[in-house]
Amino acid sequence: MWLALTLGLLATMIGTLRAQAPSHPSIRAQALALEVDLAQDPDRYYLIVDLSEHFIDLKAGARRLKRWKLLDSLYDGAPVTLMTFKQHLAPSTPEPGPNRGRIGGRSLPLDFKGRLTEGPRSTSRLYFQPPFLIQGGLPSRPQLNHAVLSGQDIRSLTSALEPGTPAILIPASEMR
Amino acid sequence: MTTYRTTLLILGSLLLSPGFSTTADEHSALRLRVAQLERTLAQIRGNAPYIVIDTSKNELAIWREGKIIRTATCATGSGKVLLGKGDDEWNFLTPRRVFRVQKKTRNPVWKKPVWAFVEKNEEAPVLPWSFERLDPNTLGAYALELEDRYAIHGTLYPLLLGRHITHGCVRLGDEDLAAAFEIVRVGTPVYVF
Repeated sequence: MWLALTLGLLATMIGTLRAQAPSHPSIRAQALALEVDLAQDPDRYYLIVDLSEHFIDLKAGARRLKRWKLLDSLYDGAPVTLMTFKQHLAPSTPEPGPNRGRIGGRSLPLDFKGRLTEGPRSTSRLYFQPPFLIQGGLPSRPQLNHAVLSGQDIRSLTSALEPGTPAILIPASEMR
Repeated sequence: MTTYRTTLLILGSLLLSPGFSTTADEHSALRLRVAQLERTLAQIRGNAPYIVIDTSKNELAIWREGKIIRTATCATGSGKVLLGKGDDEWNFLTPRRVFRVQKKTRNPVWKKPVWAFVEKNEEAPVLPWSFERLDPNTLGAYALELEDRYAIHGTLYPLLLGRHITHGCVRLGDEDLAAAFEIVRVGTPVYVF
């Protein structure tokens, strides 16, 4: 019985250690293969969102331009994903649309539709497709796939992105 | 004794098997593949220096061989819009894009564009080569000229470094500018974001 318990305990410890370890070679190979493609254009910015090592790198032509440290992240999806940056919503982002986001002369709450579903916003949000959110502070719906940066860093990252910017997402666990 | 040996074997296989899913051969093949891809990326990257400018923080960094060799506080575009006569409009932003150093100039002379006069509510000289347009002081000791008349140059107002205050060019302090001038070459990429 003691032997069984010891074995079970050791297996759990090994599993935990392995889950925290840097990404598995197959994941790394997939991520690198995607990066080799993106790096062919030396003038195109792209991101490496590495949830395993807790950072986001801004790169162009395989050169690292900037690294931001992730404060938190949650991801439950495909092993390595090529995402595309869709849009940036800042607290001061006006809702586009007819009448420049006004009803009866009064301006709508900023990002009106988003606020209906996600509540008030205090920090910038960066939306990617497949759905992934990078923002300063925890999202109001914590089950969303997301990564969290500091307020200053999200500002810095935002200035590097434009719609269509590609990002390689590397998951935290190698056990997928 | 046999039990302990079995235990060790089980633990060993747990440690060595990657994700409990790939064989040792697959694992070593993957490692080779990773090494090959990393070499490819290193070739694309090269070892030449490059400049990175973070406009949100007004930080300039010079990178070489994967390391930051110098950082500096700079000043970048104010984002203000200046309206002139008719449809004339100037937006004083530092564009987010990849530039390349086109020319390195010592003791640069600024040939003032029309907006420099409009901003001061003065009439711009009609002739583009007018003497009134020439200013030998404003740009400092060096200029790294980029595309579309943007440049990295010096400043008369070092206390304003770190602010969004320029007309689109990037200003540096004297020492940092001299260092950048020494390090970079014509063709060096300047990544602005």
